[in-house]
Amino acid sequence: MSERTATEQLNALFYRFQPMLVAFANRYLRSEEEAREAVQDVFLGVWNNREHLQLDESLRSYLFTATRNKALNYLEKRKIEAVPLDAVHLQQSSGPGVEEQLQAEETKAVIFDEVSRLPERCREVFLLSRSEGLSYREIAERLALSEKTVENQISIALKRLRARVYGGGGSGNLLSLALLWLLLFFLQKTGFALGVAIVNPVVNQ
Amino acid sequence: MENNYNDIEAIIIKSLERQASAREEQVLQDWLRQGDKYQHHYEEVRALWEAARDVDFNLDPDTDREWESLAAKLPAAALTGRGKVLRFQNWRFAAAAIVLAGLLGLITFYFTRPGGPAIAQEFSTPLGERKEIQLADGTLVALNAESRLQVLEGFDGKERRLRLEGEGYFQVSTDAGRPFIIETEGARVQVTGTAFNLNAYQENTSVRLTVTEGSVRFSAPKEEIAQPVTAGNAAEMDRASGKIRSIPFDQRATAWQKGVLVFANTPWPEVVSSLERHYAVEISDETELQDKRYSAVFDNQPLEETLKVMQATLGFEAERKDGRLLLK
Repeated sequence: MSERTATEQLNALFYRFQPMLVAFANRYLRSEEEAREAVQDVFLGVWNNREHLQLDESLRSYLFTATRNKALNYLEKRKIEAVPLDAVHLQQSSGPGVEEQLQAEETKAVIFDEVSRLPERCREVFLLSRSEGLSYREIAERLALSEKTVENQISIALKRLRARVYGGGGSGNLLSLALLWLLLFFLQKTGFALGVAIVNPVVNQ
Repeated sequence: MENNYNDIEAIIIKSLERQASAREEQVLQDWLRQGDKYQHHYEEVRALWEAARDVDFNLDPDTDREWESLAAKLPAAALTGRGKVLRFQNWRFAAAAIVLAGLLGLITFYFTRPGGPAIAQEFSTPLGERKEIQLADGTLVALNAESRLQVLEGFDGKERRLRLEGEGYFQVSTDAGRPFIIETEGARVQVTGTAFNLNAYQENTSVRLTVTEGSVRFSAPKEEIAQPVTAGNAAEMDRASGKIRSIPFDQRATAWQKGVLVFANTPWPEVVSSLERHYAVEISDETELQDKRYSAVFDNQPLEETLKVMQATLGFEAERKDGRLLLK
């Protein structure tokens, strides 16, 4: 592999994963700056080992594990300082529940990433609801939207998060969803009972 | 009864936050009763909502800047991590490899024409004219006078490749998965989505890049490591040596789109070429200003006015002769 394609691959990998890895590392370190630094160390490690690694999506779990280890190293180094109380439970490196914990933190990192990719308005509505705890009515007033639109945007945000995290039906499926509803409608009209039985479970997946 | 469950997620969350009305709770219960799948769906939304509470959405990963600082460390790293050297175990392998290489060469010969990939589309501008183009991916290009932009075969595929002679201002549609690459004589620019000006006229000794949005990777055509140039920065590459150096960012680098002619410490021969292009005249330069540099801004001035101003400071004479402009 030539150096150029390797740097290009590293660049693609970096842009794909750096944001969520920083969010992930920040859960351990509670320091934006250190989190970014740790992630950069991880990618430098990837570069130095590029002969033995495949610089693509398959590196995902490697990246998360490496970032976690790097973050724990950082915590170790500053052990004289107080470790944030709510980060303590993240610090065990082995034992029961660690795998689940890692999984949960990875999910949060993906949520961070997906929310940052939401359309502006949708993200705004989601954050006012989740981070600021505003009711739909309050959000509607604040942004001069109808409550219906707010509900709609919240649903879009959650559909996308769900598609990204669980691979379920997300907003990308809205079109096929609409088509299925049409089909369902048609089948009901024509009294095609079997059709309803087949289509119905799929529609709300 | 007609119930549209399109916004069921919003109702689930309202219910989790204990803000749902009795009627909404009823809708949710009806929806859940449809089966296990719906229970499962509910659980996923609940888990996501809970997990999102712990997420710091104000965090700034600062990806562009972080990449730059990482990229700056790569050349050194590349030196320490040497590439693998292929060694042939015996002559049979070597012979097979040579035959294979020959075959590949033949295939390459048949599938690529001399001079690289085929040209799918070409845009060009004559002297004194500018053009705005929208490419298939939505990218907007303003092409300055006497320039040529070639869209290479496969632009709609994995890589968006173009070739530029002259000058263009690019507003590139974002598509991280499909790098946008412009090749020019002596330099190469790669981006995903951003806006920048690229001045690559053949007669200039350097290629100049001015970035107004996002980040651009600038390199010699065969260079391994690209230099990142971010918004508000400019760089030039010396065509002969391939060296890149940063130059002061000048907002006016893109002013040509509005018919503004900008000279900022510009070498005289380049000034003359610009005049030729901008005013669509042929110029015979017999002045002794070859080593001089010139700075001035001409906002949509007719040629006569521009010349008058230049003559006043540089002290040359201009006359029309056989449809050409003679400077002496």
